[in-house]
Amino acid sequence: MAQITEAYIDALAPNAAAIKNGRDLVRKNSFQRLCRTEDGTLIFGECKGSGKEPYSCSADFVKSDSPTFRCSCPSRQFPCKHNLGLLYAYVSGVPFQMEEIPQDIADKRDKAEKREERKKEAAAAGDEPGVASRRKTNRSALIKKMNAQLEGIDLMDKLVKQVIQGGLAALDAKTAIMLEDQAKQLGGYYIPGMQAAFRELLLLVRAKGDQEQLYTAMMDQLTILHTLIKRSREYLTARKDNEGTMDTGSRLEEWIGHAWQLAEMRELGLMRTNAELMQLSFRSYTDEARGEYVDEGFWLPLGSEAAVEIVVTRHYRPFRAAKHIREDDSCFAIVQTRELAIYPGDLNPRVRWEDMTSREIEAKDYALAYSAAKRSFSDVIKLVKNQLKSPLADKNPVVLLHYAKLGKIEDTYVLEDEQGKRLVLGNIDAISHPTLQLLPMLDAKLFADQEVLVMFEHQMGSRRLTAQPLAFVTDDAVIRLLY
Amino acid sequence: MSIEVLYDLHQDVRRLFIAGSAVSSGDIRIKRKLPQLEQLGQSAPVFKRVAEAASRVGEGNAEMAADALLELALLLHAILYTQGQTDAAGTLEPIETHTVTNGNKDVPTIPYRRLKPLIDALTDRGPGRHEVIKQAYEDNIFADIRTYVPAVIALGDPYSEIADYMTDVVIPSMGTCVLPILHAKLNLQGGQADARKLIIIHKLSAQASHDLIAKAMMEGAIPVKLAAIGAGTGNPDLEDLLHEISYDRKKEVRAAALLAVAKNGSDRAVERLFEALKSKDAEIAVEPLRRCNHSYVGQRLVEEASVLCDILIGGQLDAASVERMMAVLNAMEGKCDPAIEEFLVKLLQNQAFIMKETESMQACAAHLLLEFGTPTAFEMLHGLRGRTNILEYAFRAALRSLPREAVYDHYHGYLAKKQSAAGKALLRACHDIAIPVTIALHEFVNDQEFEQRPEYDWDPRWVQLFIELEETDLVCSLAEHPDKLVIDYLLGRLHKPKARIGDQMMIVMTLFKLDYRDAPELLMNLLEQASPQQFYYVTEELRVLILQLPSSYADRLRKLAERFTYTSFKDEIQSLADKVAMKPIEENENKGAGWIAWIQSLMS
Repeated sequence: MAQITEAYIDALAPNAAAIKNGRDLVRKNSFQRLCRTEDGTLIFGECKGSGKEPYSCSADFVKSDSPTFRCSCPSRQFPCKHNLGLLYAYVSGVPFQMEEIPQDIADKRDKAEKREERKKEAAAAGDEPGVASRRKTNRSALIKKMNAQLEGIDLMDKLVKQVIQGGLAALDAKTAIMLEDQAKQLGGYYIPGMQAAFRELLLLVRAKGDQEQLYTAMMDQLTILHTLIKRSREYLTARKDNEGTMDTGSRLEEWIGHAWQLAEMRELGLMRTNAELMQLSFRSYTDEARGEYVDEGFWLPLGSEAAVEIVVTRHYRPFRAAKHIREDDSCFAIVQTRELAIYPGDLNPRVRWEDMTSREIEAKDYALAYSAAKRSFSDVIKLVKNQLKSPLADKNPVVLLHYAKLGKIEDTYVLEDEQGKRLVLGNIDAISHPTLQLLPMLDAKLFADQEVLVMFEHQMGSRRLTAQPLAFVTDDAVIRLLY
Repeated sequence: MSIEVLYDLHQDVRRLFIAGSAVSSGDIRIKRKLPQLEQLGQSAPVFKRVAEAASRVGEGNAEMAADALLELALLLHAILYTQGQTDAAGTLEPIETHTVTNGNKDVPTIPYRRLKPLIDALTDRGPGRHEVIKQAYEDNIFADIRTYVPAVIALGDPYSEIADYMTDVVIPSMGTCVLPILHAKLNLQGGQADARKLIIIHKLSAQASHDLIAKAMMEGAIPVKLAAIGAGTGNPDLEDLLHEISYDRKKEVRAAALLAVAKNGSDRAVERLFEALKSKDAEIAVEPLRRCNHSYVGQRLVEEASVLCDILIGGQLDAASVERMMAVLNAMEGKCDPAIEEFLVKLLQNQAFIMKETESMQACAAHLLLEFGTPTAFEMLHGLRGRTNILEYAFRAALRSLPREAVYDHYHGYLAKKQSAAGKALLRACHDIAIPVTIALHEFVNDQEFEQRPEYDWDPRWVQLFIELEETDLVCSLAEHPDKLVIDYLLGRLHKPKARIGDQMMIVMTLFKLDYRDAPELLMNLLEQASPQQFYYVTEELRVLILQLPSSYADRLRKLAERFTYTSFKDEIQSLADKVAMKPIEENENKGAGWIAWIQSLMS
């Protein structure tokens, strides 16, 4: 329990409101009792609530890397604001009385221990055969599913052709509603990803704004849908006929709507062991088509591999359940995990981990970033364009670049590499959060020989491939322009 | 060159998407491009594929139209999305920065979940944002450069408290780094938000911003102009410009410019102010003249006033002259020049000047003399008490200069007829002067600018007079001894059938002050007979009163608390009861003390 810092407590909190409420409780002196046990594994106390009796809450660190929180308040959040306040009070140095562990907590600890033991026994006993039986896929069920998917794809194909035949100009509110209903129907065919892609189109139909730009966006989306339909049909038909395995070389499965399980990915050999990652940028956005909030982090793997691409963590929170799911946050430490799952994908694959520890960033990490950054703009541009040519690929690849100079040509910001090749910086549509205005406020040392994390976007209107800077990396800091 | 064809084709395809593939087969424009595509296709295979796809659209049949169109779109997409330009021609110039050399050393690392709520608070609308912003400032989150742009945006917040907080506290704390953003977002033709930006720019860059201030003064929209004038005040370089602007079309601009000019205090400034005083701008010249500390001002004002006085006496009593005289008199306020005092004395004694039309001017002059506070002034004013419009000033002068018996002797007669003009005037003055019980208590308890209202010594006979006149408020304020007359009167009023709770409280307060032995009992009765919903919270005055109760009343207080509907009131009474219970039996030392002294004794 030794090292709790404010940042640690912030990270435990499920969302920003809990952080604020927790801190407010400490400021308003709402805690009537603040106690700790002698061995330092338990802190507990009483907090004034809105009722007559104060709430009794506690933070139990008997298992030092996964604390248990208990509180008598009716909130369903976990940890609740009282627990967070308790921790903030502890960190701020407020005196805590030394007390004996209360009986009810001691009892709960015993119960929890017993439960752990029972679980371990059960797992040890039924382990190997159990695992195997769960993983074995039922072949006939799979075929049934794929047939349903193919039906769904046909349905979608029909809808798309309908739209094409009638033309975009004919898509008024009435047809949009009808198409919405049809889109709902697609939900019964195990193709949620494709359904979401179709919904994207409908969102564009209903969007207000520059009609010309919207038409171009709709055309692009239809192209994506067409490609998706073609390729998924080929893929599923092939799998059905030759008992092929899941495609792990591309994002096709994800596009169709498959949610990769960690166990699956383990079996398919998509895990990397003992990985270390440094987060360079973070953002949170709303995906209307999926009906989810998405927390996205961009990480640099600190490995010894030569070709190191930026990886992405994506944490989905469906609107309806959002209140109960923890929001992800910026991470200022190095994440260490024994098992890193790498999703099939493009230049910036999605990654996920279950257990992790962390350590502070050190000089050697910045040095690694320096060497991992890509130095040739020509090569990077080729790499990016190679990805962009496929409609199903990620339209906004992210790269860590090394640049020799950062300067201005009239009103435009421009990067130059060691060979003199240039890259124009701009604010892109994918991130509706401008960052260029921060450049004049940076330290002058950033204008030469540093690294920058950029996100690319091809802008059809101006026929330019633009890059927006998300963060700068120097020899001793990551300067975030986004979050 | 050849790529243009593809872009053109892309536009055609787009057009067909909009129109629908039902009309796309046999499209003329696509057909027309086919030969060119085929020719290009001979040198580059990719063009060949495009040609093939295009021909399927241009020359294909209706059934496959949708498919063909999609295929062509797909192909073009794959090609054109890789044709983006990234280059930039020209020389690379260095970027100007404004960072403090210390740089971002102590900037805390702020995660998304703490930064985003702040940015939302600065840019969205809704309640609770001021708190968030203040807390963030205290937590030093504004040291992070990502807050700068939203902070500047918040200068335009509709809640003026937030905008003010940003202008006065937050943005100046960011230092010169924030200047580029302020400059970038400054619109001289803007509104209040841009005025604030200008103020901050001036605060942060002082001398360097002079050209901008000058420009804003000349060209800016009104709010910006006013801010610029404020910023340019006292600056010798901008004096010329300020003078020029004092002739602006808009009155508020002229007013601001004159104020700024006055601050300079130069001879030229004084000239300008008097010029304004003599013109139609007399009204807005008053305040600048008041503030201008130049030595000539007093003398010049007297000269102006004399001239105007003669005009008025001469019979020209039109509105403009009256206004101008008032302006001159008003401008004299706050000036300690003996020449002014002399003039005012002469003015009020000038019989020719005394007429109905000049009554307001006389009152003004009297008021000014009162401010002077010299024995001569007092004496003179007191001597003029016969004039009804001067009566209240005379009264005040007398209170400050004569022994209290004399004051009573000279002035009580005017109240003989309460409804007469004199009576009303004097009564009004008494109400103004005597500090009402509740206000005195309120101000003191709340540690407000206890206005150091002069506490006058009133002859006790006044109390009796006010009893006869049934001026309860005044009786309460002035009574100092628990005479039978006073007590009987107050009790009578207290128990009047339709007495209002406010008046009753005032009387009880007075009875406590007079050390009336039954005062505690009366207070308890009052509370016990009040309606259960009468009191929503314990006012300071009530708290002080309850704390005066002897400790024996504690139990009764606790029982009393249960009567009331509102929980918070109940709880407070209970805690007050506890405090009362702990009081030692003490002697009352405050017999007949003055109001303020009594209050002070309560709080010690």
